[in-house]
Amino acid sequence: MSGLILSLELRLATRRRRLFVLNTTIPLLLVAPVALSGAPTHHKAAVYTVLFALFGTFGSAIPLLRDAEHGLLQRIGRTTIPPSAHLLERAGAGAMVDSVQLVPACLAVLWGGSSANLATSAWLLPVVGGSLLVANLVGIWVASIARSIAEGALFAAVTALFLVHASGTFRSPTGLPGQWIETVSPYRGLHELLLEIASGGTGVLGGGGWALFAWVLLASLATGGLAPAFLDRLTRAGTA
Amino acid sequence: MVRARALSYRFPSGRDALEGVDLDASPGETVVVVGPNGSGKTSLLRLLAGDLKPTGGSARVFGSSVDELGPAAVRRIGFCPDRAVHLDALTGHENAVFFARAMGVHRRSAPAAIEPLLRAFSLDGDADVPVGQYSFGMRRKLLLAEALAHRPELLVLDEPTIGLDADAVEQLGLVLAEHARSGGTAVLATNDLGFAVERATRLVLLYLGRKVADAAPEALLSSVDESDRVDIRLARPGDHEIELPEGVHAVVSGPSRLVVESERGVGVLPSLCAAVLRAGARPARIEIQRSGLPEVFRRLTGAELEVDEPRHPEPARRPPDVGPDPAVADRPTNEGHERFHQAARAAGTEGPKSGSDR
Repeated sequence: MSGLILSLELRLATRRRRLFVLNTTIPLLLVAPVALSGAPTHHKAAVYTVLFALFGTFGSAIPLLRDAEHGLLQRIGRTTIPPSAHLLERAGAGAMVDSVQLVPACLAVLWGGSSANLATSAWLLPVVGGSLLVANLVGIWVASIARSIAEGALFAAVTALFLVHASGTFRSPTGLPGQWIETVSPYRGLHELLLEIASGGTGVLGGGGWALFAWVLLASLATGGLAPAFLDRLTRAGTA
Repeated sequence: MVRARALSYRFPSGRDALEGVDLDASPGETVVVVGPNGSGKTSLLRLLAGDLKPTGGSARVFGSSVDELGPAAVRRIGFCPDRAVHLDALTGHENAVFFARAMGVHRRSAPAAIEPLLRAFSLDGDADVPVGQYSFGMRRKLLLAEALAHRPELLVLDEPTIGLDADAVEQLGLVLAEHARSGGTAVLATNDLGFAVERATRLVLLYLGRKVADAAPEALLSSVDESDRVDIRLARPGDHEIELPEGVHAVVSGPSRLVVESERGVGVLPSLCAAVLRAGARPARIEIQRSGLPEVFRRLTGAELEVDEPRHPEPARRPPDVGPDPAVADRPTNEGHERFHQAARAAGTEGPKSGSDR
């Protein structure tokens, strides 16, 4: 990987200042009232998890479909940049930019937490970053099966909410099968940590952390391996 | 360098874009593909650049099938597509550097590779302006600079003169000449016939996805006589009965357009204009076309070769909802298709199934 797409995406993020400001402000405006409210901690953690997962998935799928429609993916596809490098660097850059944009929201989460200890809080940015990388990779997958930006938005919402739900965000584990699914779900670690922070707990990452690590690894490998097919579908959808 | 045999492409919709085209291009050659809209020029070029996969036949570039061009082969091709797609948030310079690097130019060499090209196409003054603020012509020039920046051996340029001012077209001609001198190959598609005849070492005429001629410009043009064409666009479309002067015959006679041929050349203009005015019509634009490629094309296919407007920096675009273009409506399209079928049958090649297919 040459890093060309990574540096391009980072540069583009700094050039699109209005978008950057909006993407920084809106999550903060959504998180701050919840964080500072007296809402139950599991409600708070659910709101944060949904927001962060949707933020990453939408932020990856929609621009990808937009670039496919504009012919930019096709144009870059005609260069010597390998498809795997193109998509993986794009997802990596997307996760970095998303993480930076969510820093104020994360600070609001910490501010509204019930004095979570430093060790727990220190995990927040890495776990949010890892989860956003997974969300960005998932965004690429859903974009590749969508035929328009509207379809992409729908698929991104459905997929992100499904994975958030599978991670046990909206309920407590009731039985072994459900528990197993929750343990291997990508946003389990994020939800666990946000719950700890919101409740002022002192726990650090458990099984959810390992699941997140495995998802980062496997989703990256899958995206790299399937990148030619993904880009082929995306460019065909873009020129249809 | 380029070798295509029975190359065909069918759109996913089932429509044939290209049928059984053979094409060769050797080092030092500039092959110009000419044909009306929908004749398959863009599809042919996209196939050669590896942008589309053939649905029939084969095409090889530098010995590799276009189906599986590796990075080494891609690096040797400079493709200028018909759509000028850029990273609008970045400046022209940044775009050119990015695409040069994406084609394998080293980070340190990229500025030196692109800056002379930006100067050549008069973009150096706007190199630090975001491309989102560029005009159509500037975007086209930047696209050409980007296609040339990595010094490719094979240039594949789709409608390279569109949107260019006269200076840029001249510059492009010089670039192509230098490219050919240094042993490079170029395959261009254009409807700018003056540019095509001037710059081609070989002309390929396409019609309805098939190749109808492939020869040096001189060989093609020597087959037609010296008659000139006068193309008159009428200001007020109507059913005018224009009595043509002696020795002048109409090629197209429609409510808004009259195209005549005469061996008297421009000498026919005074009497022709008088005849138009006598009939109550008013000329809005008069264009003299030297006999040449359109005539060759008409003889081969029976159809009219759409000719580009004289070079404008910003070609006017028709709004999509103003009804059929009178120029197109006046064209004897069906007759042309029928004559093409007859010619194809006489030549022993099967013509397209139906003109209405496309």
